[in-house]
Amino acid sequence: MKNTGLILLSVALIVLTLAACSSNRSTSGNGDTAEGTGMVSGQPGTTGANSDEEAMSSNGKKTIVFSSFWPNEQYEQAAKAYEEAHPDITIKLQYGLSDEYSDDGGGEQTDADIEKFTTSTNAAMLAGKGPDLLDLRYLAADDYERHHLLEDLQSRMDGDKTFNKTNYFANVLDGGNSETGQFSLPLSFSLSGMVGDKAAIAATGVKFDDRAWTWDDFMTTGRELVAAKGKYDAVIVSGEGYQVGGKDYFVRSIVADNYGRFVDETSRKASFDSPAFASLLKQIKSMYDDGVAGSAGRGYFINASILSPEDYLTSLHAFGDETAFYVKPHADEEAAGTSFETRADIGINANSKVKDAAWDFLKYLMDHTSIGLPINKERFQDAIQVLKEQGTITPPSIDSQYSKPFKVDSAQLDQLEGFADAAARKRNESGKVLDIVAANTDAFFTGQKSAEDVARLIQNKAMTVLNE
Amino acid sequence: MSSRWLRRLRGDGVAVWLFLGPSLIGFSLFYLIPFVLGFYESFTDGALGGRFVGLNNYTDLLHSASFRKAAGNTMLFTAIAVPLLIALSLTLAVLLNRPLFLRSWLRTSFMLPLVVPVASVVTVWQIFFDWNGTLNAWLHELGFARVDWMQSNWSMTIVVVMYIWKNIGYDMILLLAGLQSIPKDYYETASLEGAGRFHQFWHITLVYLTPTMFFVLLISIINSFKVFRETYLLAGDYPYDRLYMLQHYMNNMFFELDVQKLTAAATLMVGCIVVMTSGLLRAERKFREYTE
Amino acid sequence: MNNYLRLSGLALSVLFSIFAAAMLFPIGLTLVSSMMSEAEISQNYDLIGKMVDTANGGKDAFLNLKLLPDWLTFEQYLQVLILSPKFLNMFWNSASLVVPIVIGQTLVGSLAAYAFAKLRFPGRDKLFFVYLMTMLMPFQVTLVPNYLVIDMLGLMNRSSAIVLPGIFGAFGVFMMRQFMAHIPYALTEAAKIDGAGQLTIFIRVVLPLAKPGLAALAVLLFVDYWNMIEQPLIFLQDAVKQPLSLYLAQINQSARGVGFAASTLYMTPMVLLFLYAESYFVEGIQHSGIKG
Repeated sequence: MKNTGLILLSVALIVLTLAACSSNRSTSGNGDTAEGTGMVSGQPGTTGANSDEEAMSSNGKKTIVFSSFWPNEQYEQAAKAYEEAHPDITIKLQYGLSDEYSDDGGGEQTDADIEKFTTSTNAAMLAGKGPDLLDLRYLAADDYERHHLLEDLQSRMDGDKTFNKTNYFANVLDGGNSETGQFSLPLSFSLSGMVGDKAAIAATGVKFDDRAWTWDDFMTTGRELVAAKGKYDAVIVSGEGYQVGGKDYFVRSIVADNYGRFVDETSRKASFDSPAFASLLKQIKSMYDDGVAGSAGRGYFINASILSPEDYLTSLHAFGDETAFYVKPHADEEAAGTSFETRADIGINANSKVKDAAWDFLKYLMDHTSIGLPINKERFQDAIQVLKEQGTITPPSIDSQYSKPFKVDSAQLDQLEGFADAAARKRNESGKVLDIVAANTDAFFTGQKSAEDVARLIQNKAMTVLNE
Repeated sequence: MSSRWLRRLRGDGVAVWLFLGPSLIGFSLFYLIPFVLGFYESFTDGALGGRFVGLNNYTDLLHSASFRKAAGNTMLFTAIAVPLLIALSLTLAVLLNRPLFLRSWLRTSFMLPLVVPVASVVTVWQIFFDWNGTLNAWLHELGFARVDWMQSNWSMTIVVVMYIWKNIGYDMILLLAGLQSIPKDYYETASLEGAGRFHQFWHITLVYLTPTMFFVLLISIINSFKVFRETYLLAGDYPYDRLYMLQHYMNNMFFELDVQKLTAAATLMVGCIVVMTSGLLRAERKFREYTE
Repeated sequence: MNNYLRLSGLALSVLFSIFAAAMLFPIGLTLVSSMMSEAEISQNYDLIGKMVDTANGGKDAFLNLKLLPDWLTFEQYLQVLILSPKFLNMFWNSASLVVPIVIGQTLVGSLAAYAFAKLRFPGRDKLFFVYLMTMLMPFQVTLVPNYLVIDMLGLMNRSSAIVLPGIFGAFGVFMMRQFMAHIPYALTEAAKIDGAGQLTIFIRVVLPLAKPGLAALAVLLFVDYWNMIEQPLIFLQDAVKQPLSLYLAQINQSARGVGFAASTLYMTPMVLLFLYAESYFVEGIQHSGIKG
């Protein structure tokens, strides 16, 4: 009994030492293996933190830490080529995806990785550390921008004579422009619209102008198509491509287009409890009830995001023999034009010690990578040219139905640049308020709650978000 | 200077450093310094080495309706849940403070929820309070409409229930100890003087329980902040506005990288806690002087 | 009179038993459900968080609270323990984080508590008040500055980023001081007169008497840190190092069947520890509550 204290003390000390030792060993072991593969799979927070010291190392070599959630071969190639051309620069790529568990329960692990990636990058950025260059996928770019954590690239572009805006799709570049400047540059973009069965539409005799139509026009056209009782029952199926989505697809899409009607960003007020929103919900529901929108099978139109020239032809080919790309309807007050999303948005950490080098590498990335639809017009042409020379496309086999190789349709392909040039509306369907809208409307569409109840709930939560 | 310092420390000086040293070093490093840094940051405009902006962040914070809502909800929750918990645990303790069949078993089962991890029972709460959940199934049987428990003003009631479920055993044990420390002859004397049960409870039990009560109150308040985990796992970062607490606000501010509002909110919250606790301690001291 | 007492005692016992059953219900339901087959669980509980179209019988769609499995099976446990190495790995992570914290905080805490309870030095009560304050603060308060300090010390992504702040947590100091204040001065003074140094008094006199307090503290710390979610999320970036609490929070949503078994396994160490140390635990908590 007398010795209990002593024993406890010594046991505690031993355990403590053991714990400290084992934790040290495991971390260093991990670092070794990562370095051994020649690829730093460490996480942004940690390695990025060390970059300051490395950046100023004595031999004058600079290190740019470039972080991205998804591993990207193009980034690696560009980094390697850039390092060869600039022997004084080392580029460290780090990825947020942990490959350790990719084979068992992949999806769930990815979600966890994303959450980690966001949290740790946020914390690192706040602490004035973090990677020098960031692929902003999954990161809160708006918040970074608001808190001056990203370098203003507008002044960089203006002040750099070697940067020529006409080399790029300027309409897409400007789309990322906010009132206070431009804080990220996309390496790539995608076009969103619809793939329509041109032959079937022609057979119904219904006419419309997709270059200028609003959602109301689309509904009218939709009812006409339904009334014509042609090849399909539904006009459009919710979801994108093969992924038939829930009803929240249209809610998100349409509310995003009408965002200004319900959310006043300047006075931080939402008006989802207005009759207008309830009636919008009812209108969307009637799309389903009238058969304009379907939640299964096929329709005259299919929502599609064109990710690359190859994807463009594959999408057109996959949904029929005689198809065409149509522009997405827009809200009344919006400009007509193709809707687009930027991809591979890259930003520079405002607290980076190697900003100039990072900017130079960013320009290099814009000129030398060809991801999806490249922002660089020359790369864009190249991609199209490569496809034409290739002659045939073997689509990835989904459901095995259309996985046979098919011939490249040069005439269709030539129209793609036209759609890209007409890109006018940046599609922005992310954001907390839209998430809240999408998550709570299902109760109305299934008939469990009234439109007014749902609208009240959305208003309740949206106000919390807006007033933070 | 140093000799005065030494004299002030007197005989216990070296021993104090020996015993307190390790804790004080670690405590300063991981709690005190971060808090002071945070406090400093709440007056600047950047995360690191920002400009001094005085009370700007605080005025911004007070202009945020969501912050006011969060503060109000947190106070409301504490004001409802803590007294309710103490009243219920006191009732239990008084009733259990006598020879009773299966007494130790009962005590065990009241305390068990305390050690059950939050994440383990979240699904059970969902089974009850979901839109399609058991509670609504019962309402349906009885012919009533469904209630969206977590998405209405009921949500706070539910969190209060979860809080009481988890903490009632702890408080009960503390109060039982307090009850057992009251000498039996006080009651006997009172009985002889003809005091009724109620009178005895009011003038003996409650009075002699008061010191314990201060401690119970403190522990209950600490634990009322911990209920955030349950709420978060059940309702996410934007729950119904009745449930939106200060920790939601601070958490969301962290994810939005708004260090200014985060640190200002933290400072205000700590300020309130300081005022409340020191008030509590002062009341306790007064009470002790009064009884002695 | 005697009969009346016995009867009311019996009635009370019955009442209490019902209440105790209600308290144990969430735990029991988790346990029972963990022994259901995957199919049975999805049949009963698939509707959680779903909206069923009223056109397809949504008006009467409710999940089905099932108290007894049709078929007792351990397939979920098999799934968790054998087929997914992740679980055991995380279980080990949790243990290797929590055990050093519990031992460390108990040790450092009781050293400091001794200084606060039995030694005299200037500013003692004020310093203790500061400890008390940090104990009351929610984690979010010092999130960002804490990150800075951890990063400065080069601890990021190491388990010490969690373990070290854990060891220096204020709760251990607080609880042990409450407990030690209870140990009569006469005992320590007597040892002093016998020529014992403070360390000897601490180890030979105070610690053995504080055993219940240590036990109670250890259990409470175990529960608290076994439960932690926020700290590892921010300070441990590698998925391989994650504790179980994080994994469980995810799995409860994606794989409900396995979730019950994982939840049960997750709470088992806590429950066993509690049952094993219950008498010490209760005694320890009770002494901390009565003002010494």
